[in-house]
Amino acid sequence: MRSIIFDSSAVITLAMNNLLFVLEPLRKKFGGVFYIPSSVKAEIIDSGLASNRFRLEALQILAEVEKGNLVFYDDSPLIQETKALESVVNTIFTVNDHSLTVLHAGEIGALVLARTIGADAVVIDERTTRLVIESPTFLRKILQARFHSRVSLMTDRLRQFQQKYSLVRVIRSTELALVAYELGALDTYLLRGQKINDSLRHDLLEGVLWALRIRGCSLSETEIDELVAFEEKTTSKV
Amino acid sequence: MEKAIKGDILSVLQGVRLAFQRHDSAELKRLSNMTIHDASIFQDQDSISAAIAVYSLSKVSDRFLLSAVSRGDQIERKILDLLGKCSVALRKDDLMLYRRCIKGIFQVLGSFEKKFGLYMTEVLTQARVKKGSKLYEHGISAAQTASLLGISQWELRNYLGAVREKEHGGVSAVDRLSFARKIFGA
Repeated sequence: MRSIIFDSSAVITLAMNNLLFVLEPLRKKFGGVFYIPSSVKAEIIDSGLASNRFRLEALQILAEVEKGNLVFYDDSPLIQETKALESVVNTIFTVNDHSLTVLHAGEIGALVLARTIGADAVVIDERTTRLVIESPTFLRKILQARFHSRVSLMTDRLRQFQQKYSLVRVIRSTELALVAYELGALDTYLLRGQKINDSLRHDLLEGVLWALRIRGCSLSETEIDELVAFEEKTTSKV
Repeated sequence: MEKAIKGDILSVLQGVRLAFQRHDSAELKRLSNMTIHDASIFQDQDSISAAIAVYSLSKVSDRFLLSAVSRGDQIERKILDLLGKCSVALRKDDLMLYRRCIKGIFQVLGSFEKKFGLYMTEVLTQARVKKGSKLYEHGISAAQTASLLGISQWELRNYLGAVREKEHGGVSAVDRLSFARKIFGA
């Protein structure tokens, strides 16, 4: 069975932007399962329910779980591997000979699960986790610029990590929203008098991407411009 | 406590005491960022608590607020006294006493809520979120940052959009979308 793993960051972003409804059409198109590691249930659901501000969003996520659009995957058997990976990842970068803990167990758990079950992708909105997989040297540059100190990259640790995890493919809530847009799942926002108003498409594209950026997703302004231009060039709706 | 952390907190406390006496909230805000650097590297609770406490003090150091609260001058004296005791304890390497004094500052701040209806719980949460955003800017992941600051990712992510993220490294946006289209058959 095909699968996509959702990190807590992506679920939170979708919830904060009232975009959880895109999960159903996406799941049906994908023809597989959308998993959330059970180890992050407390972060996504319990902490949301415990707050006044995000309780509704947490309930909306539970509703998606109820409908089967998101499924909690019991990743407790993977605790040892997650801990082992933590000790590798969080010693890749050092500042003044001190190892930097850059990732949390929850973020690492999503990667372990994705690799273990051979998921097609993992949805991560969080920048640092993506960069550890895709561009650790770039992350090192960021760390160096922010710490105003030399940041060393432990190549043996990095090699250890990359041997198993460099092939994990990452997408974001951004890409999910754009695929949903292409599937027509967002057309409800273009309806004017029961007809689709195509001239609003540019506004919709920019609106969705800016909303995702402002409420949760690591997405730059340059990327927004690139994605809008790419969508408008490659989709026949415009 | 690491030597570097002790040195930085001591230097911050000195500045905080003077700034609080002058009701200089801008300076207090600036000082609250000084221990974030250590917090990013060492991820220790002492650097984090110091940053949160100092930022929270910047919110209540307004002289008009303090004069509006009944016994505001008493609260001001208590805080200055605790700040002094923090420095003395730290110089003597009495970490237990230091941490008790920092906790005492939070308790005094908490007493504002009753006296003035000022939502100190909200101020303290916002202090954690704002200091968390600084940690995130240093490159620490959102989940790790939230865990260190004792806040939820919900609180933190809601604020991070205000953080200007210029660098976007890794796979290009177009390549990532092309891959997503492929796996969805779109």
